[in-house]
Amino acid sequence: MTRAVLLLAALCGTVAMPAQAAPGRKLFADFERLPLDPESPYARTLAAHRAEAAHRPAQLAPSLRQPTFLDVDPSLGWSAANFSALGKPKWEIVHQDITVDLNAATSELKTTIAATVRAYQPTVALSLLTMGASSLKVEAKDGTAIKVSSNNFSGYTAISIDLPAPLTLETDWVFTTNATAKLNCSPQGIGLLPCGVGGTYQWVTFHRYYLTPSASRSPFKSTLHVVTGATKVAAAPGIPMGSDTLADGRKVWHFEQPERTDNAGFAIAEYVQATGKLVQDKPLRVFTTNKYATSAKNMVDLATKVVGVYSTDFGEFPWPGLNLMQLENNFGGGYAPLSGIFMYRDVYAASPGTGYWYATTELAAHEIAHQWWGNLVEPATNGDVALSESLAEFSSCLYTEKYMETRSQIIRDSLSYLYRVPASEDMPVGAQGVYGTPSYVEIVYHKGAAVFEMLRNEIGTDNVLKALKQFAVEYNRDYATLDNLQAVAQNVSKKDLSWFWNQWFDKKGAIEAEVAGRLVTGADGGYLVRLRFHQTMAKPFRFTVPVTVDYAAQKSEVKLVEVNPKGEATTVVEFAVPARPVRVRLDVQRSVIRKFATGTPGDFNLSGQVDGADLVELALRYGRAMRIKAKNGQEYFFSDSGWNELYDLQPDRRIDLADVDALDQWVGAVAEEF
Amino acid sequence: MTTTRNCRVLADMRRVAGRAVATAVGVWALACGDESAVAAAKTADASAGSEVAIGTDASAAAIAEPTLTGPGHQDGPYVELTGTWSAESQRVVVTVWAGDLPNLLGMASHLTWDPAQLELTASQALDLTEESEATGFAWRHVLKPLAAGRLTAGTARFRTLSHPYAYPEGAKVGRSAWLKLEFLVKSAGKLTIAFDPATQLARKAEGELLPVQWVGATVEVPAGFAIGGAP
Repeated sequence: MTRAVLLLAALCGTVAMPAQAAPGRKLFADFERLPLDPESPYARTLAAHRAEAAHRPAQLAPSLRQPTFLDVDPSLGWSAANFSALGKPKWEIVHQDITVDLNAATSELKTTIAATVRAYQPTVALSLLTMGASSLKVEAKDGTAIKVSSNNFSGYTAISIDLPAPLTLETDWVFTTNATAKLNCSPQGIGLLPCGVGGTYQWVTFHRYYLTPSASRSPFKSTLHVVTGATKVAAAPGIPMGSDTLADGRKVWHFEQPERTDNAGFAIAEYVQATGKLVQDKPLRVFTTNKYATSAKNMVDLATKVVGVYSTDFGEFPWPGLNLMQLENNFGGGYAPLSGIFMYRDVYAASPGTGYWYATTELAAHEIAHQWWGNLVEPATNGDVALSESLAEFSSCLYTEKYMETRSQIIRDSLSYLYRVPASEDMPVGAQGVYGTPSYVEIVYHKGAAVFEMLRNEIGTDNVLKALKQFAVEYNRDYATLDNLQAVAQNVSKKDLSWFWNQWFDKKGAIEAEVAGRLVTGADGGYLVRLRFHQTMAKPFRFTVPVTVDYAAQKSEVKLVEVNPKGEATTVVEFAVPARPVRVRLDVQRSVIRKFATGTPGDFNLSGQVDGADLVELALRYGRAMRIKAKNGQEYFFSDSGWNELYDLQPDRRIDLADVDALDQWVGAVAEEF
Repeated sequence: MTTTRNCRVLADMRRVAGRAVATAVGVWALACGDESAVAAAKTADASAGSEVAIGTDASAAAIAEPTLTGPGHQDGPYVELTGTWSAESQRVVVTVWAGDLPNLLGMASHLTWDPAQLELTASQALDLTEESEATGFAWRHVLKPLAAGRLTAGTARFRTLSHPYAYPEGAKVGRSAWLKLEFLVKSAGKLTIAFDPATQLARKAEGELLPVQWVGATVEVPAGFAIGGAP
């Protein structure tokens, strides 16, 4: 049936829009955190990120919370910005020879550790921290028992060793501990706990053996020996050094970790190995169960390519090789295990061209990026975790943009922050206490990546990559702060970025602005596009936004427009265009963390007048949504990379017929003079 | 092969021949885009000396009433006007046609004319393809005078249900009436009803611009024509 609109014509004047929203006009939908559809790609990605983040102290339930040095002994608190600035510590562990024997039936992990200690100042007692030990015995290298006291709390054990005699300076001294820890693993959970004792896989992916006050992380080199059943294979970060068979038929697998790290995780399964060669012929080993052996080649190819790209972008791959280990639950972990990445089972079954390959690439590229961000350059403080997680995610986004030819990952990250984080949970990306917010992942992983994405608008992609490469060189195997990265970025770009760092790392929030456009005639008779940004926050943001100007015959150009409000709510910018535009679009690729609303409601093409062309623009965005209703009637959060809130005229996070209907009342309105 | 089709609907012949000729007027309108109808139009026009130059129709001139003529379109997507004088309503009745549009998501333009000569008294937008709950789509329209002598028109195809997994989908439009307009004649003379070039827009579902011929028309009001009229 034909549907028609009949309008009795009347000569109607145009309606000029006031500078600010008409009273009562709602610009954006109210914040409402909808549940996640567990089957959605976004939910899976979030789960993977959360699992990785679960290693962070505040992300764990209180009973599992890992203490920081400050928890153990405030005097051990380490707050220096740079490891090299610490000078020599009083003493340190320079090597650990670790033997682990995991009994899956009892969830008991027996460890024997020979720790080599070197003192630089007179030392009569050692204070150490390890993950919870239920029994502990310490003796000197010669077998002499050493007096030890320990205190268990929150899954950790603080150890105090009274030395029989002061350590001889600059001379290695060895003590041995025998400890048993009762693991508390929950392999069935979506998130990852640091261990699993299932039938197929057993693992302890994140095990801090001994921490010392000399540095909060990476304190020692190690040799790891993993005891397994006769048919099992152990995998671990570092260099596999083969295996031996014990008298009882079991095997012991050896791994050399030539780099300083506090983490010596491992995994056990009936692994088979797929191998490849990374840049400089460094070995790549992918450990999967036999079931995934045929598709492991895909992971070899992917990891090889990602490492190659990062080696070009961020500098030479720093480790002797890379081991990728399959686990059974939902996890991606590349941070802390040097030269090793633990990832969950599904990704090893993915094949290029299939739906899951994209998610696999995102995850692998994120975890591999940690080999630079988090491992090569380590965050100096909790407030610098963006140097690990934000940069790893940003790197992955760069990779998928270039090699998967889609920006959906970075757009999804930006939307995740904008639409998932209530004001009550928001914190600055660089806040020391950012771990403490339940929205840690959305803020640090997702917003943090989007912040680095915005840096591309400010200094250009080439300069961003140049800065990251230089940063990785300057802080190679060192601790760094966000301020250190700012200094490098400024040096590379020759631009003052203090406002950017202050705005995006030290402060919370995002841009919210009404945007109006007008096409005006310049003095020379040419066209000028004039845009007005009216920001609704107390402190307006400074930003650079790409503006796409489309002309007839499919011609377009993108202009980077700086919006520098200098404290004022309203900023007007203009630029000349060579011909009359068909439309003007803001931030088409969503490279700015923003919510925009039309300052002249319904003027989607920013022509300065609401007319039929705006209906056509609306049709192009129709159906995009940040919420979705399932068949069961439940509303879920939906991460739509095609979302543009500018078109959500009737704000409800859905571009639907209500918005089409709402447009009608504004047809004929013209932008006021500005 | 490129062909040019003359498209014209002249002065209301109903005055002369009553309802039987009104059918012929309908055929005239269709003749702009349909080959078989063109043949029929030729037949109908034969007695009046078909294929005569635009605006020189002897019978139209003879009855001294407003005429609307358009240059016709080339092969390919087009939007064009046809029109007739309605003695009954005492209005120039204009139909805007759209045709040969593949994968059309939406289109829009401003129609302009000299308000000293014509006054828009009614306007109506029509669906370009037949849609229903069953097809899952609906056309939505924007149609509003922006000022005297300027009318914005826009139309776009929407799904009846919005869903993020359901992307926009265009329609193939063979030839369909898009707009119906009625004008009161205010003065004699020649004027143009045109599509403002700066506002002409048609897009495919993927967002790509669709090149369309936007063909205006000329309205000629003879000097002896009685201006005004009811209602």
